[in-house]
Amino acid sequence: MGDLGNRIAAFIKTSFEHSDEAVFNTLALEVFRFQYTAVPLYKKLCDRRGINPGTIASWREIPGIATDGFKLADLFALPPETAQRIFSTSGTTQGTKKGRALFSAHGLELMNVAILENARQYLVPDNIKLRFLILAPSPEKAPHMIMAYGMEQLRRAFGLPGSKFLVGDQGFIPEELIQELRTAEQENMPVALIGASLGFLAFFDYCRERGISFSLPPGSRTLDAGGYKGKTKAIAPDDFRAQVSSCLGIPPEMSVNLLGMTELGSQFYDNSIRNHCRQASARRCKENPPWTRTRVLDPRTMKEVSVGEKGILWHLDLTNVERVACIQTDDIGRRCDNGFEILGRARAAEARGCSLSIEELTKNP
Amino acid sequence: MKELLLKGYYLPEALRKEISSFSYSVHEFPEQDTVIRVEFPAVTPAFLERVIACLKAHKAYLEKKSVDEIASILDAASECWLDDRYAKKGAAVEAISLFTGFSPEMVKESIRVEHLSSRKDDLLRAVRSELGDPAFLDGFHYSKDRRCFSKATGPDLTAAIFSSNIPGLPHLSIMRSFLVKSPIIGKASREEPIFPPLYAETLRELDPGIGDCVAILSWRGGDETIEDILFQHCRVVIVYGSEATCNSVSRRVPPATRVIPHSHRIGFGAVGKEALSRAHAHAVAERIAYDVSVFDQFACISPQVYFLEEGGEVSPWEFVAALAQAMKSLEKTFPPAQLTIEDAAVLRHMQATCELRELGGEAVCIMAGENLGWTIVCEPLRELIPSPLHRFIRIIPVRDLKNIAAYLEPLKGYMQNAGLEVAEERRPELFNLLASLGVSRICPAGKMPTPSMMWHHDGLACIGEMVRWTDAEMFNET
Repeated sequence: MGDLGNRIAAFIKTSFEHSDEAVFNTLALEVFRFQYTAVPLYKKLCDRRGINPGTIASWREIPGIATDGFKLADLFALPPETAQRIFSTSGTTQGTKKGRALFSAHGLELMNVAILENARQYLVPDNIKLRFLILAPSPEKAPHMIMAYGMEQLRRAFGLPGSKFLVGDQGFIPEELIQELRTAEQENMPVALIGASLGFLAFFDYCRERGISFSLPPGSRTLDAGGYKGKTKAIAPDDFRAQVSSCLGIPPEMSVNLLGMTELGSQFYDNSIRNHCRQASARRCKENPPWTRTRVLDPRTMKEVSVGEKGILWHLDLTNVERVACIQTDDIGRRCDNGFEILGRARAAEARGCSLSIEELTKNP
Repeated sequence: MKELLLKGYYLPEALRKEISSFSYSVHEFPEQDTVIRVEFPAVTPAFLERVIACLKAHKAYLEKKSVDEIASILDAASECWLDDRYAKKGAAVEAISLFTGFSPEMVKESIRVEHLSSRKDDLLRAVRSELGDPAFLDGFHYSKDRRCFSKATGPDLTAAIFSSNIPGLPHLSIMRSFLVKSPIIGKASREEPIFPPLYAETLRELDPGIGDCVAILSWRGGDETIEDILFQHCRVVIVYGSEATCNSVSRRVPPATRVIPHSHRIGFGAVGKEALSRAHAHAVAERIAYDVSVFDQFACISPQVYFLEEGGEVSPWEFVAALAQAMKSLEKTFPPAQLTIEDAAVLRHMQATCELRELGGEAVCIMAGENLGWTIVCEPLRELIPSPLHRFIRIIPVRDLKNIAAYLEPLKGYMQNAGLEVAEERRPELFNLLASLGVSRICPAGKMPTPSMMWHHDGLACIGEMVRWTDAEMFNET
């Protein structure tokens, strides 16, 4: 795997300049071949579908494993003792086991490369250093949280001195962030406020109740991730950005949402900062970095939908060379010209008529 | 592109010219190349007051008719709706299928099932079962048990809030109301405003006077300016809907008004090991497949799980294959409902998870039709998880059917229908067990979707609950 991993790393490092579909396809099929033999549960799934490395010629045909697979098995293609970090999924649904994703030292390196290349394109395409204020716990506090790990990589690579994690032993203290933001205003120092979407919402509420708002220096930006899993509080992306704008004084185009999943080493950014810096007028969506692919599948037929249509999201990520690289999610999204949009997570429909639904039962214990 | 204009309302003749304005809802069905516009009259407080006054004035018409005569008219209406050549039925099947996503075949079956149990004999039996004798509704009638003359009087006006889940079901409330000689205002669901007005038209065609005793309107559910006026005038309010809707209505009606709630319920089935013989397993599978497939599980009487007792000739695990065959064959007779992306995503996710658990060596077995048409999951669960519907049936193997109490206890307030396939000598014990759990109907497998008119729907005397008795007693005592 070492060699394959190195070739993938090399591909990632140059892929934004010359993205080569044929090279991607070759690497993807090699990853599939490796994982087919190395991950027994994945092999069983592929065999049931009648698919093996000998039967397919395109990455599009690689079977995706349901995210729940990571709750049932490690889906790790290397000996378990080589795992250096284990990240766990939030496991918000009651009664379900948490999933986990194993990373070897090499796997972490590969993820780091991807995080940096991605951020260079989508978070700091203007190539500036910023003070990173992070609405998340540090990796020391939350060693199993992949978001904390990723944000630490961003802080190290792009953060100026004074960058810090703002969720400590006492949880998130809004006054501390208010202080930091006031300092940034006074020093005219642009900040990157990054972290959990729910943390942002809590901060916006806090400020609104107290009539607090900011006018952060130009170049400031936000990155939020994590969504609103299992929480009643969910707001539309446009509303989120309106709050970013009214509370922080950061224009909507400088606010990006990131889709990250514990199961994957790569993340998917909104393209708005990148578009803004390139003065491109493309519509906001999540773009696939060149070492990943996302397909939007009609769950009724599992066929790819046309641009503009809804379906469930299927991701393929070459950085996942040591974990199953192709996953089928229960996220509902819409296919765009150059990427995809997230619309929400599949939930059992409200009961129509009088058959008792799962939803209702959990509402009325 | 085909365009249809449909009426989402029905009004007695005299009121039609009083409609001040209409609103329209437009429903596009690109896959069927059809656009449906549904016409709704604006329901203002003043207009509603007029409708109420007009319906109440027509109660006298119902009072003059005998229950027998009313049952004859209702019977004739059911006969119309049982006839595939009936023009309204054709139109209803097409539109309801588009609105609800049910296949036309399923809409037809649903209408058939609903009206087959609504014949004159059924209606009169239902009245007798709950009131003793229809004569109590026609005038003062001597009761031997009470040793007096009694009369049962229906409300001056009944209100019914319909749901959209079961095509053809709203007629049940209209029939019950007319049997107790009460005019009725129905609130059609915006998701299926097609059937109730058409059924009312049928009644008007058969007997114009009866047609003046019903109105079907539509307003935003929970609109207090409208519903407060309505509830003030109705001694009985029948509600189909979620528990939250039923509770909300109960809180808002005047103290003397009786609410008959039909909220969400859960059905299930249980098969004894003696029924799982090589000779009978296929027949049992066909019956269970019918229970699961009809209404695509959207009815409160539909089973969400079937418990199968271990120790028979055919194990629950083996039974899955027989059931799969039966599901597949019924899928042709009654194609499954159109799935939304959201519903399909949930089904796909649940199937994928079960499949992985099966592949991972857990005690789970899954079989599914193409394109999510049906799903069978067999696993020894320890708790009952409701199904995502759309013919997703869980088979739970149990050592002894008596053990199902542990599964059902937490859902006690929600129990409705139980399909039971066991030897006769086991029935009394299991009947008692199911009754203690709050089950309101027990029937053989294969009969779950077809309750009789006489069934105590939701465990209630739905006709009995509607009347108010007057007893003239002690006149002959010394």
